[in-house]
Amino acid sequence: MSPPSRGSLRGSLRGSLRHAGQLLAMLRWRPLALPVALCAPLVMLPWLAVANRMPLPILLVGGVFIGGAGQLVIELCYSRSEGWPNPGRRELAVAMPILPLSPRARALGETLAALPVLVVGLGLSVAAVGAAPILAPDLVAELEQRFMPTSPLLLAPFVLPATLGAAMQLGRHPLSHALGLGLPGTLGVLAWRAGWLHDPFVAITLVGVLTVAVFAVGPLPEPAALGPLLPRVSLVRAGRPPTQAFLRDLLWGLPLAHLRSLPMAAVGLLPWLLLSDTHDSLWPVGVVVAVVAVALSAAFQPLGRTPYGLGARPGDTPWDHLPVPPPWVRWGLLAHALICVVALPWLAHLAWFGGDGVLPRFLAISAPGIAGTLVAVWLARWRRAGIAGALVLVLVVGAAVWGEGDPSWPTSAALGLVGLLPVADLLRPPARRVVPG
Amino acid sequence: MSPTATEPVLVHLDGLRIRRGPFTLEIPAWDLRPGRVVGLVGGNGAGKTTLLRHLAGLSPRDAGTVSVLGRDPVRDPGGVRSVLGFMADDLPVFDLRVDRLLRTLSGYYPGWDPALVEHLLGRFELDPRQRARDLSKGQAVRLRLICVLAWRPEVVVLDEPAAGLDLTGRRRLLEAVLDVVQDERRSVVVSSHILTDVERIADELLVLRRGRVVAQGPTPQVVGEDRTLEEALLSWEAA
Repeated sequence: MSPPSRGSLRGSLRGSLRHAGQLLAMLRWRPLALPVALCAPLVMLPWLAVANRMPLPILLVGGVFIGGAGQLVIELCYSRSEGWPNPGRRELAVAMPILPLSPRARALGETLAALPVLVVGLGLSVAAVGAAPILAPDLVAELEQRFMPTSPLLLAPFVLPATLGAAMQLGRHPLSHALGLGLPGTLGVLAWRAGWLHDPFVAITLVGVLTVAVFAVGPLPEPAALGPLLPRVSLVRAGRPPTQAFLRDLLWGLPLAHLRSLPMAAVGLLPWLLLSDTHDSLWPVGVVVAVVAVALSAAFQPLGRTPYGLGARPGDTPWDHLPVPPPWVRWGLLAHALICVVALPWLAHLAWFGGDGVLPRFLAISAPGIAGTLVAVWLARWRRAGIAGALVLVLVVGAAVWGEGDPSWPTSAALGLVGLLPVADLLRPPARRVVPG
Repeated sequence: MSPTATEPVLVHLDGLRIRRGPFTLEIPAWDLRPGRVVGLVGGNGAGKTTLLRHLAGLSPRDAGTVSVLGRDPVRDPGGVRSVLGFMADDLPVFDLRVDRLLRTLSGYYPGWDPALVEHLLGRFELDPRQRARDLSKGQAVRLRLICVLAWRPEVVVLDEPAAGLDLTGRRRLLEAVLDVVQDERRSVVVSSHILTDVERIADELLVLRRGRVVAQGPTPQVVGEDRTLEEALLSWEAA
């Protein structure tokens, strides 16, 4: 029986620093990756701003999203694979798995490389949001008063251990992945709530302890055991007409299979139960936000991890291997995406509030969660990133000109529209086959 | 070249067992000595890729001892990958221009040889300005071969390196493999279904069938004088 690999701590640290240096150096050849990576935290900032008015457990979910942003930065800048020629393996592939690094050193190196990008990105995002009238003045004030002063303290205990933990858990069971992402953030929030993080010495110590704990005792990733993070759903089932089976699985099978991701929501809600003493007036909103945001992110995983997310389109391999007419594939995917983007948030909202005045806030909160996931997928191609950026710019300028109305509406509209771009992209005819011959 | 007891061992396997679902790979004993080209052959599902990925530290094992120049692929995968170069046709690479990808990789390997890279780019007729994702399948295989040969690892492990290569590419591949073992401290393990190529370059063979070793040793002994490797393999498969 092989024990898990430990390697030497010194060697791992040396390898990590070398890897982080190489990855950061790689950015000079990806001039567009850096601004996109820097913008990644911007997508989550309105959510965080609102969440700052929420109880701490909701802030914790924001912390988990920050950890997710760390992973996004890694994906965008460094680890994307060209992804051929084995379609069966590429969706789970990690680029260059044979680098002379232990999995531990690799995870730490990628975290170290992502951290400065995230910190700078979040700083720029805060400054941009403060300068542009896309948020309600009270939210901007909230940002300035509560988030900005503490963000340097919050970022480190959230991002570093959470990203490291998530990277090391990648490929394991989704619950492990969620724990790797969420638990360091949980501890960071609790420490913040206890007031420890206001002392820089304690904050730095906490970061070090958390990082070393994750680094030293966390289970190692097993590259060869990159099990599917996705639920296995057969999009065509035996015994049914292919079209009917395809639509049924697409509309129901995928969302139901994503219920397996609910442990992530449980991780986010657990501290709520432990700390539910000071937030009676806000708790329904918080619960809805947490559950919907997490569930939607999980629901959109297929768009990010399947061939669609990797550049395939209806008509491309492997969609065209389905024994289903292409229009059915196209419209079925569109329906699935629209249900997730539009129908689920509205149903959740109506069920909880019956249409009272929290709708703008709800949209302002949930739209970034939706749009962020979609944009993360969509921005993987630079031309689209440019289109999305231009659209956001137009909407921001429009909101500034628009004037005195409720600013959460243009915010929601901007983020929602950006989020819908990938959905519209589904209707685009295939440009070329994904797998070159 | 026959092994002698005094020769150093680059790779040592003892009682290896790897389970993957219903499949089990078992290799009681196997040594890789310097200056050899070892052909790893067997049908689909024989366990070739499982063995090679384990040697590269990409997958765990269930039992046994494995040593790559004294390093355990499970306990020290980073150390193993600094002396063993692994190439597979579907190995994902960073999505960069070929020259930039190679320059990035050079930072990880002290033994990276820029002159050899230039030579290999010419030999494999690869445009360094092409982007990795725009390469054809055969060009992609050539790029992966350069990635693994450019830093002169002591052990070169090639999993189906000829997949997608045209006739010229295969010839260049064989030349490159033989170049490696010009340095008698280095060895190559190559798995392939193109048995004529294996038979042409392999000093030794390790033949697997459904996770078990059916033959191993010097190529002439394993194949026999009155048949080809293809005929021998068919007889083992039929047995």
